[in-house]
Amino acid sequence: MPIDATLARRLYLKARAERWRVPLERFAEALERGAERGANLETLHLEDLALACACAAGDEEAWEHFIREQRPTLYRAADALDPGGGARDLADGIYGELFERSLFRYFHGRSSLATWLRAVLAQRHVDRLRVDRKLEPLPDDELSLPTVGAGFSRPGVEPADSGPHESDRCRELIRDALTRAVSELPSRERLRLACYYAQELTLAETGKLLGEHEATCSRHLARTRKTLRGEIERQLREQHTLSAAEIADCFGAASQDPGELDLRQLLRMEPDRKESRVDRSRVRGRT
Amino acid sequence: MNCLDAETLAAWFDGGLSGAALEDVRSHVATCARCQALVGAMGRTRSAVPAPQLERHPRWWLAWTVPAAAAATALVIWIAVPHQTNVAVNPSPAPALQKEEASPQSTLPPAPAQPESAAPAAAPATPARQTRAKAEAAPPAATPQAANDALQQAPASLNETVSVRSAAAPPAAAERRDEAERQGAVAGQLQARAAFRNNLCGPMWPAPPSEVAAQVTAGSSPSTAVCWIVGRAGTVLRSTDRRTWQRLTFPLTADLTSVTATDAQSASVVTADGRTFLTVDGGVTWIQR
Repeated sequence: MPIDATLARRLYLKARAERWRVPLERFAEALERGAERGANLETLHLEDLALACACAAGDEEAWEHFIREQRPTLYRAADALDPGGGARDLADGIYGELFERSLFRYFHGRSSLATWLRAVLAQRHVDRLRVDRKLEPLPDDELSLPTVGAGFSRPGVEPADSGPHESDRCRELIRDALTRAVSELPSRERLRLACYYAQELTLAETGKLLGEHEATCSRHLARTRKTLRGEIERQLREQHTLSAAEIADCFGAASQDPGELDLRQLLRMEPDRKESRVDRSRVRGRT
Repeated sequence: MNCLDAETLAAWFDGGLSGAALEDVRSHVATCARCQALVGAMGRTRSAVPAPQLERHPRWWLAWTVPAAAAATALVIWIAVPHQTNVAVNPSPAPALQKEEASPQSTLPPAPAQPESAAPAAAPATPARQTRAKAEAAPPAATPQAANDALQQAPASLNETVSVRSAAAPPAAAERRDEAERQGAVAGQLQARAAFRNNLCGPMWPAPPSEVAAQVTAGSSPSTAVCWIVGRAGTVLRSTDRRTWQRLTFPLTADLTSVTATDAQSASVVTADGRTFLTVDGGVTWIQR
């Protein structure tokens, strides 16, 4: 997508790209790549884009400026991700790629350089954790049947009346009801819950990602909590015929000891994948 | 939609997405475990970025906080030590106070202990004495947290002293007791501040050199072997071996209020008037941001 020469010139001046000796043509090419990604050219981080262009072109002064400004940020981010220093090697690897200039071509100015570096580091950190987790052997107890509520889920076993078993049953009922309630939430509300509760972003950060003020975000969260509670109560009342007192006891037991109840896992359920599993089973059924 | 790449994730966090692209990202992240983890990781790295908004939109009232805090500190010191010379001139405390002053940490001269029954006038002062006894029984503040606790306790004991004095006790005994307790509070404050200065890098770090110990204001230890300390009049110290301190050259004589070190070579310091200076070569050169 060619950029209008006048617009490119104006943005070039606005970016002060001449101080890094970036040719106008090269800067215009960077703008074009950003436009292809759907960027609004007027809101690009133009100075950072010019600096990235200069670093990619091998300008020594620009590289020194980049190192001076961004290296502390990247190392602080690495230490924040892993206070034990385990992410420092990722940061060093990123600097190696930046020094070889190969990584700069992925920066299009839609964010600041600092945010982009944090995102690159976060991506590599998360991917490494996920790979490590996949390589870890499953513990023995995960290979066996789940123990929570097992006495009630196995056919033919009558539920006992003792306290601990009742608590287990309550936790299982609430977990199942919460799973269904969360899966029925609109995508936007799931995202809000995930950002605030599961990923522990602040209200301001959560609101920014969702495009709303933090006070609005707080109100929506309160409303979602109320919705979830109402839906769980409804399910316990209608599907499991629990009385109001029993429902209150269940909530009390679950709040005292939530057991395997993990909102993070519930929010990570992927309907698309579940759908694809259904599709695969259908194919299997047909064949 | 595929999982977010780093550029899109960064653009989302910086408000660089709009329209359908933004909605696609939101709906995808709502159901994707990996992308939610990316969002969480981005949130955890928020502290890596200094807040530029504060520099762009300086708060006018912040300019008053430093002189206001200095004035408040001066007022507290003036109230706490109004008649220090009187104690030195008249070293014999009243009998009612002699039992209290027998503590080895007291700054007053020791006096022979008296039976408690011989001091009926001191009975109303019991709460203040208990507070002070607790403060003296506690070990010297060895950590910054303990130092802060000691600093917070001092005004409380002063308030108790004032209320006790107005309640009862003969004027002379009460005045001397007040003097003693004020001195104890000031000594505790000084001790706590000294402990704080000596522990800017952590409890196991050596104290800064005595000639600059009173000047230091902040420290930053990015690793177990490295610590940077800054202070008044452009004081910058660095230790890379946990034993010795190296004084670094700073281009200004401005008072430095904070330091954030990344490693032994890189650090940023902030002056009292809000300017930030960076070094990436161990303090050989400094660049203003």
